[in-house]
Amino acid sequence: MSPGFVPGAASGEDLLQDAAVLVGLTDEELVARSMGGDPESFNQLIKRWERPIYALAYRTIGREDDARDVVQETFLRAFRGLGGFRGQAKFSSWLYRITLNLCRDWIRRQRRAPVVLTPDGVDLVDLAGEADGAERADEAVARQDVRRAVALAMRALPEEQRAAIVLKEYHDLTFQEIADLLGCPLSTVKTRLYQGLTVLRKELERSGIQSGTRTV
Amino acid sequence: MSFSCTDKDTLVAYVYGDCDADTRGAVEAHLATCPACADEVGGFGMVRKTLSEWRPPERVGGLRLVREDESEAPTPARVLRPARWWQAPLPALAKVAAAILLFAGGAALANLEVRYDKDGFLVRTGWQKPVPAATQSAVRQPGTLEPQAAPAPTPASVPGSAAAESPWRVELASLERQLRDEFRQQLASVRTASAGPAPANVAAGADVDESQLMTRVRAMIDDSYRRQQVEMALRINQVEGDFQTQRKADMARLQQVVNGSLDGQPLSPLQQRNMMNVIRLNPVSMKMKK
Repeated sequence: MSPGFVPGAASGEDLLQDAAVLVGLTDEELVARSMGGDPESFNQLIKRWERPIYALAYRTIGREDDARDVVQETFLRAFRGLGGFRGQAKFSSWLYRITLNLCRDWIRRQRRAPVVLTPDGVDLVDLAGEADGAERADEAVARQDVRRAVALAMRALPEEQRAAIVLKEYHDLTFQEIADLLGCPLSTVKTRLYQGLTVLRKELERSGIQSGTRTV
Repeated sequence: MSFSCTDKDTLVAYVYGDCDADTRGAVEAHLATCPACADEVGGFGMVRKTLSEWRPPERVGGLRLVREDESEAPTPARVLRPARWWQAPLPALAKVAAAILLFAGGAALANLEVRYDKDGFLVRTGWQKPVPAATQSAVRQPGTLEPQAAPAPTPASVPGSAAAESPWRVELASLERQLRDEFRQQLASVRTASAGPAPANVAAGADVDESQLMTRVRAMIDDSYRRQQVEMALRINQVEGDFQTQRKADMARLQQVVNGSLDGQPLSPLQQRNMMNVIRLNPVSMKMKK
């Protein structure tokens, strides 16, 4: 089978019924079914892990479109490499590793061909879509400022520190899980976290988003 | 357990709440007495709070794995290549010039000649040059090595420009005239030889010879007719004999087949078909036997 990914591909009612059955299965069961030739099981895995993988990619590389490409490539590689997944680690960790490798490749390509890339900025459409009725416009703008400042501060981090911060802050992995994922000792993970938090604090203070000085 | 300012790993574990109660107690005791570490931990807390505000755009979802045959045929990628000079569009003037050049080249190759004069409009192609009439009409006279100029063609035999276009017509007309002259000369010489009074016995002898010749011819014709009749009779006799022989053979076969069926042995479909073929084909076979 030659797989491909179609964003937003229409699913029929029968697919919905199948998906309802698949929701109750664990990742490992879905992986087993996928390896048996059931694409819907893999689609369930995609549905389950698409947003976390996208969040990891977006926070690592800071570009929305590129993050989406990384997500697609991650699942494509995962599907092709299902035969090599032995179940020694969690499926999510395996996915994270693939994603981080792809993000690393992306960052290296950017270094080779340096292009001034600023994180995705404030978009009026974003503001209109995200501000609920109770939120004032100035609050929405302030939130966008925070988002932009954090994105810029994260870009100031070395790649290893950024990966450790993202995995710990946003994916709630344990120190050991991060160490396994990044392939480094436990103490190294903690050191990277400490250094990363220190850099972020300085960067946020420099950008005016002083921690604790501004309510967001 | 004690905690020192240089123990950053334990400090990080404390910040993330990933330490046991003893360690937590030791760190908190240190923070109460160390403003630098307390500030650091407070700053980290605020950084983490700020980080929690950073959410990626919610523009994701709906990714699905599909078989290639389920998806639409992929649109071929548009490949951008540097323009090639022979694929670049030509300006209109260049196209017209190229067309003229092509036509002129073709006309030169075909040796096209277009002429308009008192004889009319003439379009001619080919490499053969029109030969002057005097040269065209040159014919070799018997007994001479050099061609001699024939008399100029008459307007009736070679009309106008046709003479220039068709030299063979001039030659043909000249040859015709020559033959006519020779024939006329021979006829005149014969008449001259036979001129004068003819003797009477010569005329009488000619009449006798003619009657004898007619008699002999009639006899030959009668003889031939007789031979043809004999031949015809022989052929008819032979055909009749063949007919009788074939008829006897067919009757014998038919009788044999009928006898076989009457002996109580039912005929197979193949035998029945053969019998019908014999009956049906007999006239044909008899006609073909000649």
